[in-house]
Amino acid sequence: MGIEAGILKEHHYLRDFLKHYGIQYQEFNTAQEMLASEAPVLFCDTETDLVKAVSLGKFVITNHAVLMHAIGKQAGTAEGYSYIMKDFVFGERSFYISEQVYCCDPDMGDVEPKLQRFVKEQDFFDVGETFSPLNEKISGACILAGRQIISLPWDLRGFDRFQRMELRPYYKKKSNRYAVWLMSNMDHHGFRQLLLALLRYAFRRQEIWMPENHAVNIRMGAQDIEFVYPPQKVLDGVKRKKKLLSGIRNLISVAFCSLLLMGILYFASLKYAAVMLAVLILSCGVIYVCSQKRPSAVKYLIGLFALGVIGVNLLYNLRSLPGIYPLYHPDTQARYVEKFMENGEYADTLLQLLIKDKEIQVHDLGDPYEHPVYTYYEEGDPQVKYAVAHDPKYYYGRDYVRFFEEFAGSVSVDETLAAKESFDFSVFQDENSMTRIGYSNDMARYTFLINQDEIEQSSYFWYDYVYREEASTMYIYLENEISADETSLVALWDAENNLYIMSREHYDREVGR
Amino acid sequence: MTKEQMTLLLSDLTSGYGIRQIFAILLIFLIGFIFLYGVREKIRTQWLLALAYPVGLALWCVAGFLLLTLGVPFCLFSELAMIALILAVSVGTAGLRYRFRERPVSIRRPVITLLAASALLILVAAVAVSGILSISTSNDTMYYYLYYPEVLVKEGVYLSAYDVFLSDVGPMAALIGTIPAMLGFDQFYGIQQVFNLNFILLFAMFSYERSREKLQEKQAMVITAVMTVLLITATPFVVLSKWILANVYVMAYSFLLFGLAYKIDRERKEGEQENHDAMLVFMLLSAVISMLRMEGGMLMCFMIVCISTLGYSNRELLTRFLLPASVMPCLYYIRYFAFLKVSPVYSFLTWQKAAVAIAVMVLLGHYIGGIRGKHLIRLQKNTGWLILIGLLAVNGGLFVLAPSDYLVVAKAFLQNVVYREGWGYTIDLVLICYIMIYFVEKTYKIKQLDDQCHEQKMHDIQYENLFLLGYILFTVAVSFARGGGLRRGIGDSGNRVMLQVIPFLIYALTCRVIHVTAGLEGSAAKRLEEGAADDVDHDKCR
Repeated sequence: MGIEAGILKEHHYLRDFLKHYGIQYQEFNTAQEMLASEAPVLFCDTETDLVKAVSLGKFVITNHAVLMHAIGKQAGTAEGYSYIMKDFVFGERSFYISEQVYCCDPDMGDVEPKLQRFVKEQDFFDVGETFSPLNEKISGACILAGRQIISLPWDLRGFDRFQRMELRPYYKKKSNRYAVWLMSNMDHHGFRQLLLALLRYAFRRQEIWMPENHAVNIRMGAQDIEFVYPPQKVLDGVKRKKKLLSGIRNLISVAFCSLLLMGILYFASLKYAAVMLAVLILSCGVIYVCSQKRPSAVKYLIGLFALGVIGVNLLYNLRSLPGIYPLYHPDTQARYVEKFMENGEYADTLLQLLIKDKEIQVHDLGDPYEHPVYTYYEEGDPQVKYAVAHDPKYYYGRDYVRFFEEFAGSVSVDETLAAKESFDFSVFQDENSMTRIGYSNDMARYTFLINQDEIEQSSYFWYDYVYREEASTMYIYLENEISADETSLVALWDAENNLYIMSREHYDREVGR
Repeated sequence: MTKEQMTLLLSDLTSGYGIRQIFAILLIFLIGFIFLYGVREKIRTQWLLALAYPVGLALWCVAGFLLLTLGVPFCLFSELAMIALILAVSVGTAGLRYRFRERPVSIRRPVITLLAASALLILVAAVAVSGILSISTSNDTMYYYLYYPEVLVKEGVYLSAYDVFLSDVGPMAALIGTIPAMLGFDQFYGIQQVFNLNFILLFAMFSYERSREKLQEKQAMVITAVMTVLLITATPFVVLSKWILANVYVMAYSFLLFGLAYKIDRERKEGEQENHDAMLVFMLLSAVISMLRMEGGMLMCFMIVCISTLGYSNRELLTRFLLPASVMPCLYYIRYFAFLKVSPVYSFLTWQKAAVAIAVMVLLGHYIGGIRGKHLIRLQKNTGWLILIGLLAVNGGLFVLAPSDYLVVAKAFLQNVVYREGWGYTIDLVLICYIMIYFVEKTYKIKQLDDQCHEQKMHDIQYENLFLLGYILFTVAVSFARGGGLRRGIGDSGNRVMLQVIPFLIYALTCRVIHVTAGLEGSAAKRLEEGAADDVDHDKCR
């Protein structure tokens, strides 16, 4: 079976509708693509050349906005509420459909003669009427059925089966009474039956037979009453309930805001609470006075308040925030900021930059170390809070070398350099020649990333250092006069695992002295 | 060593790095621009330019993430090749989808636009990398987001030796840190500063578009300017934007997805742009958010549920949002659990959490594919409220499961707000703003937003309010799931995640202010009409 209907991709509602009734359809990106297709019936809710579509032998189901645009006019809009029709061909129907509707302008006076002829040839006839929320007939918001065009007052692209809901009157046909309930903004059953009746009409005009695999109420003279405009009492009930619901919602949100504010103020100081409450009461008072005396000034008051909020924020950010949140101005392109020196933080980040592409000369590759056999602890076992403890020996030199191997150009062993056991490293701690730039504990803490060892030692160190404060502090010393242009550096560590970085000249000078 | 000596040494060591960082910023922008220009037909130029930088950065992260999780050696060449591959596939897919219809033939205009934008960006980047704008760092900055990425670049693969870093550090965020290591400079402070400035611009654009729905141009501009300055000065935003951590990226990308989802949905409803579905942009953003932090997958699930209250079809939700948001975490979990077999002493990522995350994704897929719009239609009319009730129920369940632990979490959040741990006076002042606005609405008889909502047959709860409230409830639940009590302090992980709510909070407030301003305009017009009628009556009497 070939394609029977064409729809646009945004016609989600129609897609479900056609699928449900087993009608073969195809989706298109644009109206132009749809026109060029073989589909005999087109649902088209975007501006398109209707004259061309008709001349191509298509049957177009569109809306009044498109129809009016095609003849060079603009459709009006109104708020629809219900649709009622008594028609022999399409049946007797009424349903609730609280949607915006397009209204046709019947005046053809200023329409081009060619287009007037086109409209005349279509031989449109009215089907049904749309009524407003006040139960007044909306002029021009009927369905227009012609030879090859059906124009609806609704734009079907925005329709969705479940997206929209509202508090509305609901007509119970069986018991002939009304209820007020949160429901869809349209009676989908009634609307779909109407769509089906219209589609059958379109198919007959195109000499296609609709599939009969669904029992549908689309026979001639069918009656499908889904909604009857309710008496004033019911409408008042809807209004009351809407107001009540809205009141409850607002009350909840304001109560929530107030409670949260009170909670914050309760924990804050009395002075602060008093100031905040005074601001709130004063603001509300001024707004009230304003509404009575000079209503237009309230916008400026809101603006002034916003500026006040911005001012308070700025004041806090400039005065108090730096106390809990250190801010740095990175004067260079290094991640290491000079201010870090004050607290000895992140010294290894400076080291990482310094040793980049340089040769690092060391006395040895670190102490030989063999992992002791521990009582086996399964990592991640919640029963084991921490592992035993770290072994300082594991770190001595070994992790520095790993670090150099990872980030320096190369590492070379020079056994003539001072060994940690046989040299007094206090000569390198003289402030006039070397500076203690910070601690290297974090460097040791994170070396597990670059080693291939069992990771227990790193984890133990981590916990000893961070949580149990049992790891001793290890420092990094840097030569004061060190130059960025050095091609090789000397790295030494002492028995406490303090690290000393200097140029070869500096080393020779200090050791020679 | 004096401070001056240190500055001199650092300057010498990093000479030329500034230019390289500016080049990196430009490269990121160009990648984003090519992607957006290639995959979108009708995106407006100003949006294309504003989105290019974050999209480029997201592409960098996704490309690197795919290389690492698939076990392909990670280096500059492979990274650029992967980006080129993604670009080619994306542009090709878009071309197949649209059959290159209506594609502008002339290349001159985009080239001129690109050149002008690049020149402006270079200026902004020069300011950003100059150090004029302050930054804040912490241990996590230095080791999670600078040291670890550098090791990743050196090794080129995920190794089990990375241990706890693999389980704690957001993989996508760590990949931002690989840019300096790959392109030969030391830090990415400037890259983040440009990202922040770009985000502020996007926030202003979203606010302006929202304002224009109801207000005249001049009013919209004033409100946009004031609310954007309010965001910039809000303490949580200052804290997160200056802190070199993953939080700012999570905040910005999730706000971007939230805003774009609304914007495109609205444009499609209004029929402004046919076929405007931003499929690949949504996929990219979903992919990057899902792994920016370890809880990213869950955050995406929450976001998808919220986005499902808009008009996207089930297929769109599944393919554009859920698919990338599931594939990325799954790839990571496979690498982490099956290949690396990491199990550190303390780990954020455990197999139980991964299983829960996958289960939630599967359930969400079932809901979208099998229930949304098909069954329980009546319930789904209130999806927004249902989401909030669901999140409340989850929180309630957690409280029942472990009351003392839950109270620790709740107390820590409250303490952080009360003692202004990164919050400043923002929450107090915003709450006062809300109460004031409510008072204005009452005094001036402006129709409540919720009333209007019902009259316009829109959603049961406003999209931005749903996001805001939902995000708060979601963060409390996720922070509880982190395990280990939260603590009072600006740097607490839970507190930082909660600080991410700030753009959503200011945006929701902006929407409320727009509504009130429009209402005030309406009531002023009404008063004028009444006044004129009174004058006529008065004349008649005389």
